[in-house]
Amino acid sequence: MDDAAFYPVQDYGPVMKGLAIGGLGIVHVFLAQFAIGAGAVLCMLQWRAGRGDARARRFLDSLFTVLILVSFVLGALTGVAMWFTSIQVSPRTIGLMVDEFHWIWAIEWLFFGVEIVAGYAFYRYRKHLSDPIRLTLLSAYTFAGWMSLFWINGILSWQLTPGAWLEDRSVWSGFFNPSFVPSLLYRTAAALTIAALVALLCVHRQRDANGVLLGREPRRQLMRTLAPFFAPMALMPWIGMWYLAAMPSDSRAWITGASPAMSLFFAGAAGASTLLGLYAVGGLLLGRLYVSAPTAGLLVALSFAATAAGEFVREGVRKPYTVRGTLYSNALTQAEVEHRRQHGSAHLDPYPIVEDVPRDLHLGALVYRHQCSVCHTIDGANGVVHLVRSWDRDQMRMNIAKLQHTKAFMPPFAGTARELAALVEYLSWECGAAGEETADAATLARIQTWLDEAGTQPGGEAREEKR
Amino acid sequence: MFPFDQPWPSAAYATLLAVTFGLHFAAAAFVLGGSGWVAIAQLLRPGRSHPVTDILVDWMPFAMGATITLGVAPLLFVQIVDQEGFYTANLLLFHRWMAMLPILILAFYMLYLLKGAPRLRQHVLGGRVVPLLVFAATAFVALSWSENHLLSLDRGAWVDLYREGAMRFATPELWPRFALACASSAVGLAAVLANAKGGRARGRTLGTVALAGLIATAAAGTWLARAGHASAMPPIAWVAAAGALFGAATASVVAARGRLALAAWIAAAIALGFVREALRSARLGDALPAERHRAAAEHSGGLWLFALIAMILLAVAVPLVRAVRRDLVRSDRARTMGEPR
Repeated sequence: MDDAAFYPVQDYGPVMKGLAIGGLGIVHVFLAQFAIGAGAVLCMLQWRAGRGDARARRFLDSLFTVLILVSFVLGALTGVAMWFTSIQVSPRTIGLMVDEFHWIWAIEWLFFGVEIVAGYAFYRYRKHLSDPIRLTLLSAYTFAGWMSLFWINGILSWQLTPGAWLEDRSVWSGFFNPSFVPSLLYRTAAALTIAALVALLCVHRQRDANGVLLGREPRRQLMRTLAPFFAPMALMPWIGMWYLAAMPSDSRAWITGASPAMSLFFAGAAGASTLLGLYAVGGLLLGRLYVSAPTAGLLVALSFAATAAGEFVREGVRKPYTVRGTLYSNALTQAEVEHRRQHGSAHLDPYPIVEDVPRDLHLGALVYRHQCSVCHTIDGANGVVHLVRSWDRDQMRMNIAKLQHTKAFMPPFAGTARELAALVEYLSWECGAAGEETADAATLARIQTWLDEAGTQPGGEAREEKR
Repeated sequence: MFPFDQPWPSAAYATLLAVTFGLHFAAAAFVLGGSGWVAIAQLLRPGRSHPVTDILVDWMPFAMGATITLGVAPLLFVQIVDQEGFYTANLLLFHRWMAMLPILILAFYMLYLLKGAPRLRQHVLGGRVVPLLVFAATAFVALSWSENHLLSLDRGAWVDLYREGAMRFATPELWPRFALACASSAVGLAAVLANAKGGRARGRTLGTVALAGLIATAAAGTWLARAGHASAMPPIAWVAAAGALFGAATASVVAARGRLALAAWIAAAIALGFVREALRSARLGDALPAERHRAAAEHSGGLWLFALIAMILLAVAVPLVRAVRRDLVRSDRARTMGEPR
């Protein structure tokens, strides 16, 4: 069965599409987590202000301005940008997510609306409101912010661990999936840490009632009031291990050595988080250290790096899927892979090849566009030319035919022997190979044998099943 | 008549899209009209205080935030109603479409700058250029959405546009559609401001703006009808409803009936949403995936929870809004009487 719509695919040149969505995603996640954690920090400051702490009240006002300017503008718009970029990169993936979870997204939107209205009401009227009402508004803002994380977390974690949804297709089975709780706890702890770190940085810009920058001692006191927000960092290793345990075994393998790049990013995320945790819990919470502005800046940068590496890992461990067990990275279903092995599909694509490619290589270029271009470029980031240049044509044919076994994080090839031969010719041409070969009947038969040997099941799972 | 001529899942999603789009449009028109007003006012007399300009500069950042937030709901439902068309239009317009986001971010910051740095409004160059840029940005966003929508409806143009790599889609409908958005934004602007504090005092100015907007909207609507797709016309009942509600909003502004003006304006925007969706349905017919709508309605759980949460949030919000108002009144009274709070 193959009823997939053909979407026009745009060429990003040397930029991998994953980098576009990943880069934006990292900025959005960092800002969104800051906004959620900042709510809790602001509630605490307001509680202290209500008990007569004038310094906490002034600090709250300046921190809230940062929140409005950074999070309400950049955070909100990068959120919308995530939708649009997801459509650009993989329309079928975001389409499936919308089809399955649109009411969950609608619920998330309700809380996002509350967050915006409560936050803006506080921003606009805070100077005229009594302390209990200020605290109520900030609590509403914080609760709504965390709830929007709650709902979106269910959809994002479903992509990696759809759990019972694969059998019953129930929204709630998908939403409350195996990695839902550890992922939610991890993000909550990260949100509190990021907000407290940004607040530490803002302490150095804080002025007293006369407009003079605060001295060292008042700054130290403000830092002490922020220190409890680092406490959840102590739980991060256990939450991280829980999250790892909830992952599918082959995904876990990618980050524990099977994929060097993924393992390095995982090590980076874990290392940066550990360093941050040690400094935050040991130095700030227990040791009551004073943090200078450059150190605070460095800690914020480190938390950004940890977020970036963590998000890269989260995106990467889904391979060879974009929705585990349902959609491969190139947005094809298992049924479509099987159908395309028999009948092909590239010739059905209504969108022509617009790049400067010889006419007889168009079929191969179409196959590349559909099956490879979502994760690869020609000769830029993760360029196929660099990956296959050292292979001769026969090696290329066999390795691509057995793609999921060549590299288990690759999806199985979804086309006929003829399409595979055309892809090899196109890649050879891109590699600058002199002369073209037309695959003869014997070559096509050989490719078909390799395709049959490889089967249509994914590599990692197939290996697990054999074990 | 649309949407009752559709299978129930398609009708339900189209109705949700029409209503949420209407709400988004009601706010977006205020931002478009408001940024246009500020740009013209600042161009003519930079820095000069005017009650309408002052209130706009004060409220526009929130209005833009609210518009973006309200825009998320139709963005969600359009992905169900016409996923293939919306996604394809996004992909074809590519950089042009995505450029909207950095432009909106810049416009958002410029609005905060205008609000937070009053001296900027006095500046001979900055006071003129910044509001003009904000207006250009909001107009660009409005134009991009019109272009995207028209492209999503025109299945026959997709392959040629891809072949040409044009990233622009200008049909005879584009400019009248954009003109309709701009003209109706004048009615929206006046209706929202008529309901704002001191709206009655600005009655004459707002009445003139609303009347001019109504006439321009009628002209743009006629232009659009002439330029539109001959084979697909919207049901006359929806067009008449939208026209009547636009008239009611204008009349209420002229009569300085603020709340009525706002209510009529929101209703007019929603009616416009129904006209838009009826046109989509007429134009695409069987190309709209009714079977997919049915599958989405049957398999996607959470509707009842959504309704329940919406009601709970509303129930909590009402007393909170009242409490905030009470506090503000108390604070106002304390300030006027010189009493300590």
